[in-house]
Amino acid sequence: MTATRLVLRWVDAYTRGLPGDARAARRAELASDVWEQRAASGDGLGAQLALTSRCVRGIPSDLGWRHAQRAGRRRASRGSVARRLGWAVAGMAYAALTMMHGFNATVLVGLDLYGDDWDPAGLAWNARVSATLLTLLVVGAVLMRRLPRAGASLVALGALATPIAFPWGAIVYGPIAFAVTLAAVARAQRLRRAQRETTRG
Amino acid sequence: MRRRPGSLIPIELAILEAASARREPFHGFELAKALADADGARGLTAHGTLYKALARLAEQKLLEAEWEDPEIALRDGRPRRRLYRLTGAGAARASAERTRAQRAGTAGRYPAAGIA
Repeated sequence: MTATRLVLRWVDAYTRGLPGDARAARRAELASDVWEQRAASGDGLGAQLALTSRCVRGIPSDLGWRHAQRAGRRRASRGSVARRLGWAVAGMAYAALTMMHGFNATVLVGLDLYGDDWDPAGLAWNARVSATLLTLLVVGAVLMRRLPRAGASLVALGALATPIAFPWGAIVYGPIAFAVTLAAVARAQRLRRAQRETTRG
Repeated sequence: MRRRPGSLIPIELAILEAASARREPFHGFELAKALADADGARGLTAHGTLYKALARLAEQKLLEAEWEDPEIALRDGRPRRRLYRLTGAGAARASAERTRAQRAGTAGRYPAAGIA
């Protein structure tokens, strides 16, 4: 077995089971390094020994790097679960708030609990606007994974339009809308960065 | 032994020093050659040692890495290189470490111990 094959096989072995992007990046980087070394030193016995030596001396570090990658992935996975839970709770709270308008329009008006002081047409308008904004939020959140910018724009539109549509609730909706918009923009940036890294690797 | 967050080991300091002497981005093998040339007694840095250190420096944002344009690699008939460049934070850290080394009387060199 030539030294080049030994190095590349070893890279294959210690990157096995790692996430695709980390594995592909490390393999590509080593393939490049080995090629450069061969181009500089040739394929003589001395060059083969030097290449083998570089590979063997680096084994403890390779294993340390692998361990760090796996540990980092586990930490990221735990963080991801917490983030998803946070998103779910925030989404449900927001949905509950916006659905209250729909509830007002359909149930309370239907039961005639508001009396004559409330305008059923106005409450029905509230319900339609709430449903539209909620749809924007849900579609945006779903779309974000594939099209981060478009998804974040829909989420931001749905969130920021809420305090405008219901100015009397702005004190509640305003900060929530602002936080949801910031979170959507941050998530879109993270996803775009990850997509770029995958494309490059 | 667990390392203190943000601390650098000799190979990482040597990489920062070599990187601060370069204007152009560099790839792993080029860096290994530069490190070996700077310390004539030593061979090329081991793959594992070198790329683990580079990954750690990039993680700390002292270096930034990007893949070379595939067109260039294709034109030259070789695998794509991953190119590294010193960041502003990396340059500041290299300068601070140089000053510290000068004060300690070890100007321009970092202990080779621990570099495989």
